[in-house]
Amino acid sequence: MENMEKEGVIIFGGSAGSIEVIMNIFPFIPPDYPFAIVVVLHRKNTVEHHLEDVLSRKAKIPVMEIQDKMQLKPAHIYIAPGDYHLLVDDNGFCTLDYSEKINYSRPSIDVTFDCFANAFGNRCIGILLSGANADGAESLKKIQDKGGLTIVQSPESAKVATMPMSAINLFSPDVIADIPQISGMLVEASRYSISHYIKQIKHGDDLNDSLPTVLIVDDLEDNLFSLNAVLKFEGYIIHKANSGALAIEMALNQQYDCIVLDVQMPEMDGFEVATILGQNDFTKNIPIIFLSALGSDKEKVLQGMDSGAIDFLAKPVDPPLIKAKLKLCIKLSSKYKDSKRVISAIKEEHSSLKEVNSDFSASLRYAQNIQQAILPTAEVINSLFNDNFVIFRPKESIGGDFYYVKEVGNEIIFICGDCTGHGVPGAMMSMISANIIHNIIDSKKIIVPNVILNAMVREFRKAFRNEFSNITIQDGLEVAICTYYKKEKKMQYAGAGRPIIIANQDGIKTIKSSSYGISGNVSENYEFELNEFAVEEGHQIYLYSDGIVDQFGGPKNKKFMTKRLVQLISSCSNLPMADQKEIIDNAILNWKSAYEQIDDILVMGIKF
Amino acid sequence: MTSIPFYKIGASEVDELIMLINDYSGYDFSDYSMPSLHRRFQRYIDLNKISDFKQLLQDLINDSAMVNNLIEEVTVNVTEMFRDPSFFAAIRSELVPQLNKLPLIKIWHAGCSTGEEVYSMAILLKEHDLFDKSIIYATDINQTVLDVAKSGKYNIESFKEVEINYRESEGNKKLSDYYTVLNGEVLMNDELKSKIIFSTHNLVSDNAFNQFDLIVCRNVLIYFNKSLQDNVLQMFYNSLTENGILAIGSKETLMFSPIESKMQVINSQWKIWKKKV
Repeated sequence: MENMEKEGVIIFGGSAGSIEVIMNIFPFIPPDYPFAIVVVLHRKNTVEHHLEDVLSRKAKIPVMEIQDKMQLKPAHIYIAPGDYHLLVDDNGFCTLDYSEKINYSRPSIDVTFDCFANAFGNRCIGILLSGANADGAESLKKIQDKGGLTIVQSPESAKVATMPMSAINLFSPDVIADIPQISGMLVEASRYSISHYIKQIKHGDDLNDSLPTVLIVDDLEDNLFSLNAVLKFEGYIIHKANSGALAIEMALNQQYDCIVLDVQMPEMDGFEVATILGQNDFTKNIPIIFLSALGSDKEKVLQGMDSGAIDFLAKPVDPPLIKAKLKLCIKLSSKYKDSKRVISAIKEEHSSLKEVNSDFSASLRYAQNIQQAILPTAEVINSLFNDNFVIFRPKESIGGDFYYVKEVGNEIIFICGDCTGHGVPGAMMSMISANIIHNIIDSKKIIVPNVILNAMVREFRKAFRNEFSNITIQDGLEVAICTYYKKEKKMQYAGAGRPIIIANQDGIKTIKSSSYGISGNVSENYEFELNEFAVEEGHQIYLYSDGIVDQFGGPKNKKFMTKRLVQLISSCSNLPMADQKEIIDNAILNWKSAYEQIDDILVMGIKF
Repeated sequence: MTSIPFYKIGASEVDELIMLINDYSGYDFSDYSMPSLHRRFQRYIDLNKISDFKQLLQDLINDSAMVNNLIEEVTVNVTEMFRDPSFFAAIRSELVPQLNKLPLIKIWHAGCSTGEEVYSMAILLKEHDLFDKSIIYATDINQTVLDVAKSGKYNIESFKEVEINYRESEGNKKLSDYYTVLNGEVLMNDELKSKIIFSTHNLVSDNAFNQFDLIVCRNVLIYFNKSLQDNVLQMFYNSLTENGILAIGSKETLMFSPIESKMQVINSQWKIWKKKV
């Protein structure tokens, strides 16, 4: 059943003196309570107790005696029947057991707690109350071991302290609390999922974080006492101060959810206290309720409101009125706290993201170094050509564009590659591609561009097609390959998806490439077109990836386009390569302007 | 707990033990209530100071007497003379008149354990002059407890409080009229045994074997899961004569069982039901 899977169970164990305790707690359990409550008490089996009838009158939710195979449901109080042990399974189905007594008891709290610890783990709150023997102590520890929350009634508040003391002596229960505190916690727990609440109590070191804390301030002990009596069962932690100075000191040391403040006090009156609290960042948002015999005096009321009061109540205190007002203030305060919590959660998340990001950046920087290492150095390129430039601007620290320059005998091969994708996947592809090219040219000594392309297709198919499956990889690369034959003063070009631009005495023109890129999908026998040109000193060749021409920007946010690149080159082709580089680089930066770079950008200029 | 914790078994180990018992004895506990089975197995482990579960499985495989011993530990059921005196008082006041009309009264105590409740019933029948026309079938899965029941011999310690039970059940004699004490042992009168047939019967696997005017099965169903409970209740229903009566434990229920609609309540506190005509 889903309810019990999601929600949890609160289980009370007790013996002598514990019935009064649960009678005081149950009136606070609201009708829509999200958890099941189970009560295991040692009862004399000779007398017919009708505990459930007595409790029914106190509780706002149904109270029933457990029958065999009954399933626990939220918003119900279940009483373990006398003379049976109570067991439960993971789904909240109860099993009764009439076997030997444990700790001279049947029901035995140990038997039941132990079983609930196993079945509910961190969705179980075990509460051990007043009692005259040690039953329940060991199994309460078991509830703690299994991730549940353990609460022990404070020995001084217990009618018979043996049972709570046995637990306290055996281990460290999560919470030791008196009756109002237990009530407050159970009410508070209903605002959360049970495991969340348990986590909060176990790991937040202070219970005060979760229970509303109210400071009541009055110089007369009697007033404090009666106010405390009115409020103590409302599920708050109540602190008392008998002077304005003490109240301020306390409020500066701890975040209160509300302060109930008497106006007329010697030395420092309530208005002064409120004014001082209103000037401090830590305390200025605490709602204040003034209590005063002056309540009916209009002027005083206004003065109170001025000094930061939320409300003004007349003495003598009307209990239902102050309870209602206090509830409102707590709501206000919890909203404020929630928003602070959200902000600090966001901050925390932000800083942890930054941390992750910085880790990631560090590894990217390292990857960048690796990728740089496969690219030819400027010295190598400079030594091979009269003049040249390379604009290499990956979208991220690493990317899918790469270039390759290699002298093989009397020939120089230069290549511009653009692998699908950018960032890390692009970089991985570029590493593989560069490696394949290196193998073909260095090891196999293949230098004719279209033959290199066909060899690349074969290598790609090998690299990406698992012979045990039929999956072919769609990814691949576009590449322009040029081979310069120094002796013959000619150049061959073959392109797979990447054109080149030639600037010579006839002007500037684009040489189209074959339309297919290199990928596992291309036939090994596909004929890439081979172009051949005579080359003379001063001729210039431009290779580029599509990053530049596809870049959005300009006044109308359009693509840069090949045409604009050709025009740009034409405008500066008579300049030294370093100047051309600067002009092209600036042009693309201006074009992009505030728009995002969409892909890696590579432009390579070679002057013979 | 009073016992020192030894090896702590989990759900999967409970399953292993169930399978092992099934393989080596044929007894099927898979439809028993898991939490109570878990508890019984754990108790066996604690009592026998077992710290190595693998070793336990090994020992059980090699020693069939040990398997029987484990089954007995799992199936043992605690009871006492006139347990729940008001239940017996209810039988006196509400059932005796009806039983009186029958020419022959056939009663089945299913899961009779060591037999105290059967003897209590026999005493009650005797006091209402029904004993001579009665025949009581007392069955249990566990041969050892059945042997105790058959012998009618009990430790005198366990009879300390039962005189009070008897009085509260509205018995008008003395319980001690029905037994003798010898060497610290209570021995039930032979006469009571003359109308009782003790026999093994496994509610999990054995079928109905007769028609009964009264079936008493108290605090046995709690050890079964819901589906086995339903099967057993159906078997009880099939074994009841017209107007036949079924008494189950006071915390057990017919609710949501297949026979709920076919039975009517005679006593809701003590869960006494009558087959609807």
